[in-house]
Amino acid sequence: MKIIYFSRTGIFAPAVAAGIHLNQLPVHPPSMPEEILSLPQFHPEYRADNSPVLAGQDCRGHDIYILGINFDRHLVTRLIESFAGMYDLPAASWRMVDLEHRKPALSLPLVLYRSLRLRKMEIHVIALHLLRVYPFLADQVVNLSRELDLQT
Amino acid sequence: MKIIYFCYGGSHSSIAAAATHLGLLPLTGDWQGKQLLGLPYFDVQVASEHGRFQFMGTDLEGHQVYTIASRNLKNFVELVRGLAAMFSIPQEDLFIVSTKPCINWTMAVGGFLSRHWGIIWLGRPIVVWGTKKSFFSFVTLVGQVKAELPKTPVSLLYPGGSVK
Repeated sequence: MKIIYFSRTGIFAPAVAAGIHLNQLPVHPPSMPEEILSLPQFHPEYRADNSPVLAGQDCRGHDIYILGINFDRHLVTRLIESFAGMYDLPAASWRMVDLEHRKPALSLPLVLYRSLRLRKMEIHVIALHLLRVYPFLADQVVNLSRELDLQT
Repeated sequence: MKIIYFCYGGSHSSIAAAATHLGLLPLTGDWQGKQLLGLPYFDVQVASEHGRFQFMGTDLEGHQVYTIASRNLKNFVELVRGLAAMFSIPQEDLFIVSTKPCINWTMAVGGFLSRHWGIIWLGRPIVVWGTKKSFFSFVTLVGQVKAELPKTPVSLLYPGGSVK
């Protein structure tokens, strides 16, 4: 199965979820953002291009993808569902996990760093924000893992 | 191969291009508004349907022609190609064409009035008029697409038969 963690707010939340899924990050929130910052997607030079990126393969043999869309998530969900339908791909062969969360990442420092193109600082603020929503992301991964365990 | 024509709303320019490709509209431009309005999906798409691939038909070469509304989704082509890679579908099976260059301002205004504001009685005649005005840019676009498509050997299209 192909599992796609996606978020309307970019690639970072999916990268953290995939990190938890692949045991690169702990289920419990780390106290400092360094562990999150060690993921390749948090490198200042990393550029995502709105297409699914393979993050790795989990212990069950599922391919874990991440997708940051920066757009209407319903449209992208429909697009992926419709694409799978166009090629008659079985529904059980893929799964999308929406990481939409309520806490907005936008903050004054983030806007400031982004407008000044201080990429490193911007990523640091994003990592701090992801620490706040970490329990939500971990819950999504744990729930999915339980579901997958029940299936096998 | 699947040929995908895409535009903002998937209601007008992508449908006109796909219809031109499939020969549903005479290439001479000698067609009536009724013919355009009779095309599947023309000026009926709603926002909740955006992002769905719509099958329009199969061309004489055996290629399947689809349309889709991509709205202002950046890197739409990269996303679709990325999905193909993820599902191990050969990139050569997809031919993705933007029809946005064929859109004139009358099509844009008419389409906006009809689809966005729901003023169909006003928007629809304007978008039909705009499509007629821009029709030869669709013919040119489709001609370029067909020139780039790989030709299917006749023996594969009509196994054991011949074509006059």
